[in-house]
Parts: sequence; C-alpha cells; structure tokens
Amino acid sequence: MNYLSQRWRIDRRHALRAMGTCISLPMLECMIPLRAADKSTASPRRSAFIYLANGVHSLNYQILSEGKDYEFSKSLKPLEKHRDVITPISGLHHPGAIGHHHNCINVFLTGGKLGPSDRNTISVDQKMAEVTAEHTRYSSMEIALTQGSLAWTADGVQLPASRRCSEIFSSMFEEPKSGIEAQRKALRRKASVLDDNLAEVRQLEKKMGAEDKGRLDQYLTSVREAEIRTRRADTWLDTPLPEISDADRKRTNRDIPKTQAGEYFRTVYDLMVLAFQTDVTRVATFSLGGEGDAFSIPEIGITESRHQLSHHGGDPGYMEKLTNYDTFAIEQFSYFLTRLAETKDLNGQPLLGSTMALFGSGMCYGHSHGNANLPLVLAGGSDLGLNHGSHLDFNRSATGFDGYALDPEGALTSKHYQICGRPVNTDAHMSNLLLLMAQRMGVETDSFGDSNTAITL
Amino acid sequence: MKGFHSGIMSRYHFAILAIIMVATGASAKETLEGFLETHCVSCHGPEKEKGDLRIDLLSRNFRMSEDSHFWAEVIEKVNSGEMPPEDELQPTQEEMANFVAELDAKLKEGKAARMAARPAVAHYRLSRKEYQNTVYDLLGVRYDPTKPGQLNEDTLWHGFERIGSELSLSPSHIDRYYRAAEIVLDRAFPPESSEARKIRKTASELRYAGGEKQQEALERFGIERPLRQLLFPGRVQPALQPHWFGKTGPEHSGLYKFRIQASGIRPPGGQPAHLSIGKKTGEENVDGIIEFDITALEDHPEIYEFEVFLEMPINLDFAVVATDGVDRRGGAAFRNAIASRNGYLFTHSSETLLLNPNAPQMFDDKGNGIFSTVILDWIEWEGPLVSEEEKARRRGVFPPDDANLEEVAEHLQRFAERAWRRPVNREELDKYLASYRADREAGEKTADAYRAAVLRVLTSRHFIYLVEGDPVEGDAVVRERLTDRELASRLSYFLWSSMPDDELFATARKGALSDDGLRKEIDRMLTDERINRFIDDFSRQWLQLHKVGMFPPDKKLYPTYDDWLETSMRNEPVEFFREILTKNLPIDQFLESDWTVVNARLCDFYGLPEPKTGDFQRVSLQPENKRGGLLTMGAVLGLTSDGTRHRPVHRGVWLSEVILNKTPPPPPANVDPIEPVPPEGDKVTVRKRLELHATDANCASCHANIDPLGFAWDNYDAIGQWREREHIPKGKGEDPVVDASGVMPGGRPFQNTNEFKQLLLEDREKVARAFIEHLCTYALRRALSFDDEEELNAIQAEAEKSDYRVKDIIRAVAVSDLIKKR
Repeated sequence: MNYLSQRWRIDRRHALRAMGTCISLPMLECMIPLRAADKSTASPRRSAFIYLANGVHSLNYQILSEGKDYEFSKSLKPLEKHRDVITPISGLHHPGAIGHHHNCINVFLTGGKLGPSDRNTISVDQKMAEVTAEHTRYSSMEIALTQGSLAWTADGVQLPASRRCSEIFSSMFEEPKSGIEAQRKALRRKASVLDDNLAEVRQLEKKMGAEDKGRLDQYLTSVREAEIRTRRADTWLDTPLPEISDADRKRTNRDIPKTQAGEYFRTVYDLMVLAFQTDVTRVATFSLGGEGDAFSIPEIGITESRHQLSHHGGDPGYMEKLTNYDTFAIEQFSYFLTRLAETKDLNGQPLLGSTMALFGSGMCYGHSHGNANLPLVLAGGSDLGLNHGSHLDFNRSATGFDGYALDPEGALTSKHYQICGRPVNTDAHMSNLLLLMAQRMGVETDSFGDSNTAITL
Repeated sequence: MKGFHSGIMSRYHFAILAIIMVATGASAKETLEGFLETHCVSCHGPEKEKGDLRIDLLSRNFRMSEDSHFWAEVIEKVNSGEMPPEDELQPTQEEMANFVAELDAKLKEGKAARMAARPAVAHYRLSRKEYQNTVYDLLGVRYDPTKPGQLNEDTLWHGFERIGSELSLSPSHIDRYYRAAEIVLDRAFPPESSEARKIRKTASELRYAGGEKQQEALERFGIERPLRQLLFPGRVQPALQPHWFGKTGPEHSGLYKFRIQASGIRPPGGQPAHLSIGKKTGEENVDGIIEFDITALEDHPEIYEFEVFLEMPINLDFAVVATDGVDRRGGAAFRNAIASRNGYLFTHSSETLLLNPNAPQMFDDKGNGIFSTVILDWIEWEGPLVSEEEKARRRGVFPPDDANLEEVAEHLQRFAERAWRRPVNREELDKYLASYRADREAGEKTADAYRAAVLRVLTSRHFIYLVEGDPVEGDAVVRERLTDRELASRLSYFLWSSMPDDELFATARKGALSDDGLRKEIDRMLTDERINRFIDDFSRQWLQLHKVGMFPPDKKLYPTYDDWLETSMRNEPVEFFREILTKNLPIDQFLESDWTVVNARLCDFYGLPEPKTGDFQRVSLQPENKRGGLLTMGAVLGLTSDGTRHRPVHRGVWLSEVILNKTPPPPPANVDPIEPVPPEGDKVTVRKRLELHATDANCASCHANIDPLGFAWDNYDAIGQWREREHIPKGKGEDPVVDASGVMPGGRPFQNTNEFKQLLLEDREKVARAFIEHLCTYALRRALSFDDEEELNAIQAEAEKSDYRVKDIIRAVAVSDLIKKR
C-alpha cells in the first residue's frame, strides 16, 4: 500500500504561532490539505437538515400570502430577520409517507416507500456525502436527541446517531491520546483485519456461487466501505485536527441535561457551525427528537411531550403550547442561521452563503397524523445559486385549491386539516426539493427518491 | 406485520370457503379475482391500461416480491375509497372489506414466506445482548454494548430483537464490531495489570470534606453521634468518582462490589426510601444501575451489598426516588440549603433542629420525616473483581512467547473453534496466519501479532453471525437440516442467549444431540442458571416491554408515577414469567392468576399489603385487588397508553399481536382527518369519542375486531390504576362511568374485564398456539410461514399432553423437529 505523506506541509497552527498573528490571515496554499486543494473545494458546499417531530400547529404556522411580500405567520416570526435568505415552502409531501403516521421520519430525507415489502432508500444527506466525503475528515455527522437518525444508507440501513454534545465534540475534534504513529499503526492493522474478513467472504462466494451467499451482500459492502474509511482516515492523519478556541470548546464540549432543551438545541447548532467552519464535514443531519419521544421544554412551561401536545384533541391550552413549542424550535433554528451568517469558513466567506439548511417535519397536522402540506423552510446557500425571499406555495398553484380555510379566529375546520392530510397538489413531491439541494451540492443526478422534477429557486 | 398468522388464517379461510364451495358453487378465487374482474380490470387491463397499470398482468405469486408494491397500492386505493372511481360501479362495503382483508392476508403471507426464506447459507447476526453474553462466556469479559458509541441498537420486529432479516449491517456496524473486539481483548488480556482496588468513604469524607470543622461544632453542642449524610429526593449526590481509586482508565472496567451502611426515613403514610445509583441524568435523577429500598430504621442501619458491572472511568450518583421530592415546598433554595456542606449538619433526626435551627426542616415536630430520605454512614467500592472461572476461560488462548508457528496455529485453531462454535479447518486460518507471519517479520512480538490474529477471529462473519448451512461443515449442497454443531448453537442462543458451553459442544461433537441425548441436554439447559437469560430476553421481547415508558406519563395527571415505579413495572412481567417457568405452571396463568410477583413499590401502587422486604416476591391477590395475569399489570396497561390517556385501540392491537399472534391490517392512508372535539362540551370517555370516529364503514369493519379487545381494560387508566370513572380534565358535568363491556369478534359478549379474561381462557388452545409461534419465531430467528404448520401442530400436540405447562411447552419446542430444520 502506498500512503501519501503530507508531512512536508506547514502545520497551520505552527505557522500562526510563529507569526503571532490573528486567525483572519489568508491561508497559504501549502497549508491547504492535499485533498482539499482541488477546485471544487475552492468554495465548499454544505448542507444541514433539521427535523422537528409531530408536525406543527398549522393554524398558527401556515403562511397565507404567497410570493415576495408574504406575511410571516405567528410561529415563523422568529425567522423574519432572515427574510432575505430563507424560503418557506408549503404544499410539498412525500407520497410514500401519506398515511404512515409517525414512520414519516424514516423517509423524510429519502423519499422512500414504507409499504410492507419496501426497503428504505438512501437519504439525500448520504447522497451528498458521496461527493463531499473525499474532501473532509468525516463524511457526515448524524445527530438525534432521541430515537433514530435521519440518515439511511443505500442498503436502507439507518445510520446510528450521536446525542451527547461531548460525544459529538470528541468524535469530531479530539485527537486520540495515542499519537499519530500509534494511530497509523492501529489504522493499518484495522485495514488489514478487514481485508482478511473480506477475503473470507470471497472464499465462500467461490464455493457457493455469488447468488447463494445469503445476507452477505450487505456485509460485503459494509466491510468494504469501512475499509475505505479506514484508509481515508489514515491519509488524514498527517493533517492536524482543526484547532478549537477555548471559548468554543467550553461552550460545546459538555453535556446538557434535556431539561434545558433550548441550551441543548443551541449547543448542537454550535457544534454543527464548528464542524462546517473547520471543514471536518460538510453534511449534517439533526433530529430535535424522534416522533415518539421529542423533549418537553420546561423552560417555557411545557412539561408535556411534544407527541402529547400534537394530539391536542382541540384543547386550546394544548394548541397554545404546541404553537409556543413550534415558535421556540424555530427561534433556535433562527439562532443557527445567525451563527452561520456571522461565522466565516476557512476561505473567509460567511458560512451561510455556502450552507443550505432545511428545517421541517414529515408531518403537518399531528392530531390525525396528516403527512401532507409539510412545514418546510429552506435557508442559506445563496452562493450556490438559491434565490430566497419568497413564500413558495405549491398548494396555491394547484387546481381546485381555494384557500387554507382559516378564518380570522383560527377556528378549527376539517377543510383545513384535509389540506394537511391529503396532498392538494399531487405532483408536488418533497423529493423535488431534495433533488434541488442534491444538485446544488454537486451531486450529478436528475432524479432523487420519487422526484418528478427539480424545484427551481 | 406478522405475516405468518394471517397466512394460517387465510388457509383456514380457504378451507372453510372450500367447504362452502361444495355447497354453493362459489369459489375462493372469486372473492379476490372476482372483485378485480368486476371493478378493476376494465380500466387497468388490456383495454385501457390507465395509469400504466395492468392489474390482470400483476404477478399472483405473492411469495416473490416483484409486484407487491403495486398490490399494496391497490389496497390503499380501494381502502381510501379512491378506487373504483365514483362514476364506476361501486362495490358494497362488505365486498370491499372482504377484498382488502384477503389481499392483505396474501401480501402478508408472501412477506412472511420471503422473510422465512432460507438461502443456502443463512447468516443471523447476533443481537447486542447475545454479543454481550457470548464474549462473557467465551473470555469471561464483561462488555456493555449499550453504552453510547458501542454497538448499534437492534432493529425490532414486533418487539423481537433477533430476527435475522431485520438485523442489517452498515459500515458503522463494522467499525463498532471492530472497536468492540478491541475492547474485549484489552479487557481479557490487559496490557497493564489492573488489580482489584478497594476504597471506603465515610459520610464525613463524602459530605463534609473530612468533617473536622463540623466535628468541632458537634462538640460545642455536646453531640456524640457521628456525622452522617442525608440523601434526599430532589438532588443527586456523588456515589462514585473514579479518582477516588487513583488513576483509573478503561482497563479498570469490570465487576465491582458495592457496600453501603445506611438506614431510611419514611414519612408516615409515605413510601419507604428508595435509593437509586447510576449516571446522573439531571439535577434530580440518575439512570439507575443499582436500585433498592432502604427499610432499615434510623437507629438500626444495615449493610447492603451489590455487585455491578462498571465501565471505567465512570461517575455515579445517588438519587433518592420518591413521588414527593424536596422541591414541592421550597424549591431550589430549600435543596441548596440542605445540600450545603457547612450550612446543614446531620447526625440524627432528633438533633437536626438543634444543629440547624435556621435551615429548612426535614422532620416535623414529632420527629417524623417529611420526605423519604436515606441516612448514609459509609460506602465501599471494590473491583474490578475477576473470578477464577472467568480467568479459566482466558487461559491457554495465547501461545507462549517462544511458540513456533505450528503451536501458534494450534492455539488459533482451538480458539476459533470455540469462538465460531464449530470445527475449523486449518486452511480457513491460512490468511490469518499469513498476516501473523507478516507482523512477526515486521518485528512484532508474538503476543502482539497473535492478538491481531485473535482480533480477526472476533471480527469474522463466523463470530458476529450465526451461520447455518455453511459448506465448510458439509458438502456444498443446500441442506435442509442443521448439523449437530449448528443445532447446539441454535439451542444455546434460544435458551441461554449465548454460545454453547463445553458440555453441549461435546455432546454435539459426539453426534449425540438427538432423542434421549437431546432431551437430556435440554433438561440440563432448562435448569441451568443461564436459563434466566431466556426468561429476561424472551419475556421482554414477547411482551414488547421496550415500549414501557416510551410515552412518559404526564406529571400533572399522574403525580404518583416515578422512575422507580416504571422500573418496577417493567420488571413485574419478567419476574412473573420467571415464576411461571420455574414452577412449570399452565399457560392459563398468563391470562388469570390469583398471585403476582411484585416489590414494595408495586404493592404500594396496587394497594396490596406491604411486604416484609422490598424485593420482588410472590404475593397472593384477592378479587378486590382487581389484578391477576399479565393483562392487568401496570407495564402492559402503561405501554398500551400514550402517557395521557389509555388507548383502547393500542390495547386491542397489543392483545391481538401478543396473546393471539394476529396482527390487524394497518389503517388505510387518506382517512379523513380526525377533527378535534374542543373539550368545552360534555365530558365523554375515550371510548365514546372513538365510537364517534368509527362511523366510517371502512374503519368500522376492522375496528370491530380490534377495539373490543381494548375496551375490556377501560377500567385501568394510562398508568394502570383501577378506576370506576374516567377522569376527564376539562368539560362539563361529572366524570363519566367506565364501560368495559363488549363483544368478542365472533359474537361472545362480556360485561367487564373478568368476563373477558374468562372468554380468553375458553380460547386457551389459541393462546397456547400463539405462544408456541412466538417461541418458535424467537428460537428460529425468523418469521414463520405456511411450511412450518405441520411441525407447529406437532409441537402443540406434544404441549397439550402436559396441559400446556409453560416449561413443557418450551421443552416441546426445543426437542421438536422444527428446530432441527433450517
């Protein structure tokens, strides 16, 4: 095996220390890691996906006016200051999720099917990671505060999620104590062990014929991919880990009890910003909590679980709390956007321009599991050619649509809830949005999931 | 969806229809094909081909999955009323329901057949629990795969953790198996020695930093009693900090002995003090790994002793769990005052007022505790403890340092045979030995190079999967039966959740694993200590206990619910199962019993007389206790609720799946949204609301089969408390009276829970059959199908001979013909 050594490069940390200067110093070319030096890295592209379980209280969430001069709804108000860099989207759905209740989280980023004989398909973040992985130390990060992650492999296997901030921090930024040589030895040993494990399977193939080897396909691709990652990790060994300032370290490298939900959400967002800023990864998914077990938020007086609030049964108290919860979650998302806007990447550009952030839920109306008219906000990525500033409403353009059936008092009407349960515009697939994002990330494809066109923005 | 049962059902269905056919000339085919012909093919057939769909050409071979997604869509469209379109001939509701039921059954049958399909070589990945047990039995190493960053969670299939087709693999799994193998090896053969160490901390050291200054204060008051530490609900306090031992790293992980001298204060009418020790999860709570009630009185403290596995370094805290925590009155200031090192001194309840005149009081003027508290005198931790037996399992794994290649190969072969649970040919290890040689030539020491070889054995597919049908063991032909070695593994993973032991290996090697030899082994396994793993694992998976606490109960509606109650609830069905199995009681006891197995917390919760000790124990039940059998246990009633309300539909589905092994079809997509009913109106029960919604004939036909099974438990609320009236927080009028009556599918009526239980008991044959099917799914690690029916009948006939006693049922499964087949 031939390993590229990058030892001759100047360690950026040392250079800075020697020059005694501040971080805004332009990067000298020889400091850019080898793999990062090709042209696509000149302006990295990044994506983040944030999931809010159980839908929203749509009566207070739904934006009623379309186009440029739309008026923010009550729950979306916290995003008003980002008006120019966001696009709220109404009327999209995943055909495969309709009627599948809480399983909608499993296809949120895949556009897959949930039928009895279906296997999930690759999630868009992993599709993106296929093109970004070679540029970064880690191909993607998966965070879920409760239950499973949003990320799925091409084999339809759900990737495991991290949930503790200290764990996320150390997995991204902490150097194993053993030192580079010991790590290299360990990685090479691992690669060689995996190699032998693979050889063993091939032996079986020889004996049995490939079609008869049972569940080994998955095993084979998994071991092979693990081996590639091991070798990739080896090539990264000589690139020093990004230096994290004491302030950042202190803020993010700690565990926050779930009773402080806001602090928890913000810290995870900080970790994502830090990961993008230092370019350790370019793809991140973040589930604020699973469909069955999203946090309560005692700091704003919500002691009920989110699932419980979403089945409000028409109780005004519950509906108010659900609205407050939605607003609170959107406020934290707004914080994320602010942090992305004020943080510069390694090229000195604001992160927000090169980062697409999608916030949303696989459900709209939780009380009866309405999986249409998904609440979605796409933000950032202006440098990737996204034109924001309007409310993009796929319901309005559909024939037969005559308004959201909200009267001024916000009374409950089954007509409104039908919009949230049955797609008004059956062609408006959420996969079309995921396709747009994939394309802007540099994935060369003209379809994703069950897309029928790419959304233009 | 549990395909198997519906498969069986539809076969019965066919049988019945076939009989009718003779009488009336109707054919089974007509229901499905007739419907398609009348309502579908005219548009989706050779003439029109609407939506590019030719229903006449869709595959009727439901065992192959090629067209099943089209069929699923057909169900959806018909179910939702979308098809046939309005301007076409409309089927009756009944025709529609029959069509959907039949097509659904066929799809499930097909899916089950696919899930049950066995390739020439089948690989069943070990579940986390099995991996954990296997490395323990192999090397005497304790390893916790559930710790964050360790092995991924297993995918559940109806609660079962070990269904082969569900246990998939991603690159991250491979990484984690690799890391796990490294940890296991480090622990078995630590690079640096980690002798057991012991530390002791007194209350003075724990609470008062040695307590010299505080001692002076005591002397001023002339108090002779020593300082003690007060643990109270509402604030955790340190129980273990790794630096107490000195330098502590992962190599110190292992079994620790914990001892504590303590006593408890129990407020009049309140709960005994419950101490929970574990990782802190918040200001008030820990994730308990040691849990117990402290019943010793203040003047007669007792020493309590536990053994627990710790992954070092770890911080543990004490939490006193009680419904009434010390924040209901004075909030944080109150807790801070009592937790303050200098502000609050404790020696004895009679002396607190004297010592802490200005502090918040924990005792009333008669000296009674206001809260449940624990008084701690001292604690001890000792570990890691390694038993002789554990050491014995590691002995001889490594070759001596001066071993030649042949000796190394012999050692590796011997280890691989145990780890892979089968004979291993030397050539299978060629690659490993080549890597060993390469490492040695590169200058590695024998031990280090050999360690890498052992690592290869532990990350091999032969270790992390149960492999059945491997040509290594026989000819390269597809085998229908297991070899004796494979059978030994299947049996040991069935009954012990782990690898076979030496004796079982030996029996298999001798080829004596049939007839009397098999029976003898099964009897030995059923009485071995390790059967407890089966009891824990099977009962948890069968009863879907992972759902307990999934939707945490609302604190305001259910103030008596706390962590300890939840843990106790989760354990009750397991302990109940243990009693049934150990005593070999008949299956009826699952449905109705005049006893249960509970601890003090549950006695308090169920209103049973308080037991002498806090632990789980068998107690008898009276009719007025309103309990008996699995179905009235807090765990079952809670896991079928959503934290706020009981959910009759969930309860019906649970009963149907778990007790009868029948999975109702899923609800159709596109049902009209349930319009919320604002709660200002008259108070109505959940049942009434459901009935309002179930007016849609499409919904009603299915719900008529599910809901009554749930309504029968309406007298129990969302955490399982008995009630006569359903508490409705808002609305007009009195809380409505509960109606737990109903009609079984098939027409037998019942008035209440007891009558319902009697009806289930009348169906004990079916319940036994369902239990056998669950056991077989668990043992065979796959969904069952049509093809298994005869063998299942044979098992049932065998089990019936002993009146369906539970241990005998398990034995019948273990010695059955089915279990010897792939």
